[in-house]
Amino acid sequence: MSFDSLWFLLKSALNNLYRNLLLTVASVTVLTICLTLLGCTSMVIQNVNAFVDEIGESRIAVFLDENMTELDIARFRNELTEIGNVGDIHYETKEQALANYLESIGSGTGMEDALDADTFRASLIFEIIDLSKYDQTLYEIRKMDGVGDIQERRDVVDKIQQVKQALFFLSVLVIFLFFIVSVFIIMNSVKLSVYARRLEINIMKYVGATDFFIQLPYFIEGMIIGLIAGIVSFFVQFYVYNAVLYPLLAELFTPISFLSQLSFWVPFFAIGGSLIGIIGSVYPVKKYLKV
Amino acid sequence: MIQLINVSKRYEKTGTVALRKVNLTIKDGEFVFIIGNSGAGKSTMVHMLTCEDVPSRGDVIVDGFNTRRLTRRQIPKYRRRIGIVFQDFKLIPNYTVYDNIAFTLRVVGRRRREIARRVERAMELVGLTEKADVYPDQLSGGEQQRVAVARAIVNNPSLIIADEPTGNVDPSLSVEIMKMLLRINQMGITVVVVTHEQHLVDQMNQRVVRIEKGRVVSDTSDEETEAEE
Repeated sequence: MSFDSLWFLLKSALNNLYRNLLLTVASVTVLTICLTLLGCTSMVIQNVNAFVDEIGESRIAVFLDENMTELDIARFRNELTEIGNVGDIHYETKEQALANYLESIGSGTGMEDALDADTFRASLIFEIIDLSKYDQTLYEIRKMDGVGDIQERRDVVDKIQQVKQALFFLSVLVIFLFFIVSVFIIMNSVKLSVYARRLEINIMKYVGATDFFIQLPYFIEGMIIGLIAGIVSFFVQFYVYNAVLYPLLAELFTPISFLSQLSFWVPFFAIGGSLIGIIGSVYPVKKYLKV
Repeated sequence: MIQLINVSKRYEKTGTVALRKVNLTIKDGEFVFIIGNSGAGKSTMVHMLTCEDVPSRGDVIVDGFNTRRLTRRQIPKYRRRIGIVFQDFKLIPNYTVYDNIAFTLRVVGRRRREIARRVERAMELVGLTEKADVYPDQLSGGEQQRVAVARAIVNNPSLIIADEPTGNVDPSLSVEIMKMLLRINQMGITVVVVTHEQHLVDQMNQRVVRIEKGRVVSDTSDEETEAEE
């Protein structure tokens, strides 16, 4: 395609937007609201997810055989790391276990004299990283030599999994709904634009323009609306999240910082907006290409 | 060359038979009138030639292209070889005369310099050079149709199809439009004019094909051949 053709297409798209300025502004506004709502909902879901992880008890304590030497323990620790899906491993000696226990029950109970370190067993304590592989990881650990006992909270893990799954489905549903609404908004805008230019499309068909060439200005038009809405949404969400949502969530836990997620949100709004624009402009033009 | 071989067209939705076993050959560089009353099948024939529709039976072959076998991708290329003049002009109201003519070349990806050169020539041919920057609603019906003709010839087509080109034009200007089409034909372009205006056809002394109820009922070309024999 020559530069002249590209310029012609771009000019046509910009002309379309300018000629229907009111409609363009309305489409950008509604799409911005949609994308911002989508972004904010997604941010809240991410935060709740992080919060669930934060409070979730995915900690496992592996009590070791009493006759294991320091060397055996070091080897065991290495094997555990090789299994994968385990976080930082903390080695708790018998003495530390006793001290921790006494601290937890408080002083003045008389237990200090009744218990000694041999009552406890040394353990390796760590977190399971990916809870969806919880069972598999646990199975691997159980097979290892030197495992005395394992302390774990499967019931809590199961609940966390359920909550996370529900959040996942909720976010998919929200994204899907807002996506559909956004596509419809673009569709209506482009539909009116196509209707206003049906004569041009008709002539284009008769003089031998390809369908792609005819559709391109409308794709560009949809993409520009989507892109503008995406850029505006980014700044609106930045403000709404930092000024309203962050302080609210901060009352409960440490929320995710919006700036730390820039690498996700910038392409999300730019590509997402443009894509919605392109998808929304496919159908309205197709209808007039049947000449 | 245009060949219609045993062409029949039946519209399934309504059951109407618009063309019945039509056989017609139009040689390169010919000027042909297709005449007939309303509903005779003239428009259907135009649709077959412009590839808006395909025959239910038979073949339409234009410049070696069998329209029935054209893929969706080939149709634009086929249409670039044809210039179409419509009864209602189909000019874009917010484009100037120049832009309306240039539109044909812009949408098929021609370069700016080539567009300028060709549009100037087309405007010269139809005598509208002075009105390049004028909008269609500032022109008379006859002038608007001349813009439409310029738009049809600007891409150097081998065939011009004019569908009732004088239908919306002042009767006093109809002959002028026809003479212009004749001038274009003298440049070697095949011209097919579909009309129901018998008086106009009588003045032009060109080949006339008459259609009635979807059938070719007379062709002056055959009569001439018979007379020669």
